[in-house]
Amino acid sequence: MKKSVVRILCFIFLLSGVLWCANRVLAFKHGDGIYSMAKFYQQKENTVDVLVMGSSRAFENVNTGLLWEEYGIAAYDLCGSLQPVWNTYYYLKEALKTQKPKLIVLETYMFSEGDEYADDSRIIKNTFGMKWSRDKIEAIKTSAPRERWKEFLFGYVWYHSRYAELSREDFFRDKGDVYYKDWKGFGCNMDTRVFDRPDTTVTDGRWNVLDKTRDYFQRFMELAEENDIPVLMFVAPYAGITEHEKEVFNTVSDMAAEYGVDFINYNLMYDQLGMDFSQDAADVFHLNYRGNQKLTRALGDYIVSHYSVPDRRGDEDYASWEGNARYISAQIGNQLLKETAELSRMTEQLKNPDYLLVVTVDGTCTTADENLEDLWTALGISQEIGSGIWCIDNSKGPLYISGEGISSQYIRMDYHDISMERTWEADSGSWQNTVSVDRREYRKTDNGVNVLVYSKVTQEVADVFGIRTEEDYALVR
Amino acid sequence: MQFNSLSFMIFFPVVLAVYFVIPRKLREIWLLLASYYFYMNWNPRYAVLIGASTLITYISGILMEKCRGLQSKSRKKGILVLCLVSNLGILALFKYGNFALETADRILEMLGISGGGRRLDLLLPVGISFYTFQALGYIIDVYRSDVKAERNLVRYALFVSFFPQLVAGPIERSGNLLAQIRKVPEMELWNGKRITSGAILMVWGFFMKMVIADRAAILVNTVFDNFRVYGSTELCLAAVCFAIQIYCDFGSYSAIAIGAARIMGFQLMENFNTPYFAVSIRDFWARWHISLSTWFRDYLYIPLGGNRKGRGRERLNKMAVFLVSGLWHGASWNFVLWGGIHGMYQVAADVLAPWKEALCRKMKIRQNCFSWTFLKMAVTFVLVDFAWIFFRANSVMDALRILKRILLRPTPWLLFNGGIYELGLDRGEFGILMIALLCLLLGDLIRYMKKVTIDGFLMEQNLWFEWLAVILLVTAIFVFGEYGPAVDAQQFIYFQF
Repeated sequence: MKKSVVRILCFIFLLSGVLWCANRVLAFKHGDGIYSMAKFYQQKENTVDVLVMGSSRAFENVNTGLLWEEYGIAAYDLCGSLQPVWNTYYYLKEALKTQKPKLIVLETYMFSEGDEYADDSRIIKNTFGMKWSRDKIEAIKTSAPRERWKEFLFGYVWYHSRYAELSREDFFRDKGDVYYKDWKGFGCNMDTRVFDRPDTTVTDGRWNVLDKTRDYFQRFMELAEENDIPVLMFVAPYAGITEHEKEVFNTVSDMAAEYGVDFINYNLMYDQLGMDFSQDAADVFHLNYRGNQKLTRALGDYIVSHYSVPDRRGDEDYASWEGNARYISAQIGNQLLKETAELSRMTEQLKNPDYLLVVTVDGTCTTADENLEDLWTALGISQEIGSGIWCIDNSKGPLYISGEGISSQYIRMDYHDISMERTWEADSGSWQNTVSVDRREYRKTDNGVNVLVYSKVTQEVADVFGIRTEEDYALVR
Repeated sequence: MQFNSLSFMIFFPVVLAVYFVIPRKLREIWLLLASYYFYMNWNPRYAVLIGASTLITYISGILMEKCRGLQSKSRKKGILVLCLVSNLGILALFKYGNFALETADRILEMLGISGGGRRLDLLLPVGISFYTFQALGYIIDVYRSDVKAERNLVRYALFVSFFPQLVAGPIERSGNLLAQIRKVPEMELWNGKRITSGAILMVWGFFMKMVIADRAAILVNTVFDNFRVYGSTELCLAAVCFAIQIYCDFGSYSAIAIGAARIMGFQLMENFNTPYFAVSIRDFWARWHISLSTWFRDYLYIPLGGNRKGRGRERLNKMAVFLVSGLWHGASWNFVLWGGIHGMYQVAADVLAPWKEALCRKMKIRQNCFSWTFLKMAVTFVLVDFAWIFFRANSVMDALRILKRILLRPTPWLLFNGGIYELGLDRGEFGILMIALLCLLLGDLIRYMKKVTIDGFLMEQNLWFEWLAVILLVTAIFVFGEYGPAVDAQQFIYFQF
């Protein structure tokens, strides 16, 4: 019998191991809720000084990289998509198990929530990231109707059928992406949509927020008070604000006053922020990389002048905040490069030491072209070789120059394979330069210069553009 | 409570844990309580019916045994008839009441009389046909003095309601299950091999149900529920998938039931033995739902005279048995017709047997080779699958319309242009189904050729292979099983019978 028991235990151990692996691979890894909590657990204990909480209006608008770079604030956006206040409360409970923040910044858009229960997707995103504990069970019981508790208790039943959509991110640590290595929950939105400035007429109206929201806000504030953590409440500017929402924010202002905490409605401060809705909005609800920097600066200024939050720059324990800021900065740099339409401005940006450039000179274009002299100089390309492929690491120098004959080279950058090949095409009687990354070929012009910009910080193709010589050196993307 | 539910995943280990540790004397009571809890999980009111059926047959059994001597023989018969009528009456009322009213309405309608359209407001209790037949089998056995009447009510109630096989069989015989229940207090529960064997069978059952049957059901439901927009390829594919679905659905229930019972120390009878390897319809019925086929053989076909009263009567008896079997499966004419088709197959096989032999001799067809066996298997499968169309269709008219579309709406190009992947299962899902079917085929081949079930085969292998196979099966169930909120959980098909 002893032998049987040992055998059964060994088998159960093995089976559990396999199922654990399957669970890890198949689990949801949404950045807008689940992964931000999973990553939060990985933060060193008691390092998060400012805990930013709320919905996507918080994690897409409060730039943790900028708060670090300009103020030395170690902030983490612990938020969830359309996160109701009751989930924010449970996120705070969870957060306080490992962190002692100096300040909680609470974004309040979801005080306008009108339903007792969110949709399935939000229930999942706002609870599945939590580790097993009584609080997680309570969070599920609060988030879902009683008859559906069972469904959400075992996340596996939701995601086991994800096998058809598995990708690289499911198999590697940090989702196999350097983006998540030092991530602090912030998602920098790079889209731009043009909106008119919203109506700034002030209303005095009030709106009764949901009893459930009020109840959990009370619990939230009491929890913060118990832990002696000040709370700063705000609502971010957005293009789609309605009269009803203005009334809700008036009520939120009253609620904040009841607890004696600050509330800033940035929708009343467009001018102070310098908010330009023709270029600062990503969509009707969120700011883009330009807008979030304006809002974050305003918040940062307010925090350092009203609360006691230390400047952690230079502290080795906070290296990951440095990494996060560097990544976000590089991400924005890539976006600025993509949006640049003048070659003269671009030549400066291309000198960024974090870039690796792959340049091909194709068709009738040669390096002898004097109209592109500034470009050759900026890239360090010798005009002696007429055409071909150049691969230049801005911090190291040229990695590969094809010359004018047949040649090929393969370079492994991080987890990407870059292939460069120069061949003679007998049919057309011309030289062909081919550049591909992970088997995807990049070419913008057959006659002129093609440039592929790879960022060593964000570990991705940052930009690809072509200069068409026969079209008056037009820049094409 | 379904086997493939979270409730059962909690219920079964709890029942098992308590069963293994409680004093021996309490085992029967515990299993009875667990069985009633299991059954009442569907609807607590069901317990009244099963309780009534149990009491009637229990008392009848004891009364019959008390009848001795010549005069008592007629009394004994009277008790039997009364018991049969009351049990079949309950079954008829709950299962066939509305069917009878509907049929009467239709006949009246044809005669130009309004039937009123009244229906009984009754809920069909899950598995009523199964436990009624099990109880009736017992009472007939007692009548024939094949078994002694059970005087311990707890034991007898457990025999009728034993939860692993309560709602979808196998329909156990008193000679087997009741005899084992009588020995429960003496049973040695800790037996690693027996427990492993039961657990493997359960895993295999879950694999058949959750990975194969419920996946095939997606295609089957898509096509059959909207057959008017599909042509021959889709309908034939759906018919083949239904053959797979119903085998894996029903076979899986039996495997889980047998496995669960085995872990608890009970040996239930085999219910399926590679039915699609059958070489004739007669052979098919010796392999499909064996517990029901043998029940009908022992308690209906033989009492009707079997093959003892001439050829004509034998064929008539066969037809009668299959028509009743069809009706047992469901209160609808398409089930009756399905049974009738199988009856006709059997009669036709009898009639045509000399012709077939003569033809084979004349054409010098070799009958002791693989190609002949394979041909017979293929023909049997086609005949069985043809009948399944009547079984699955919502009505006889729908079945006929489906057959008409198969004949008159050819769509062979769908086999080549990927159209078959638009029937609810995309290319990936189809691939998973095919791989799972390959596993099923391997399991059935082992059963067919080595005469050993999957648990026996795996336990004969080296430990690494046994563990690898079981771990792969469990992982396949967890990952590829059709379950969770996104999936409309498929009930076991045979629950409705």
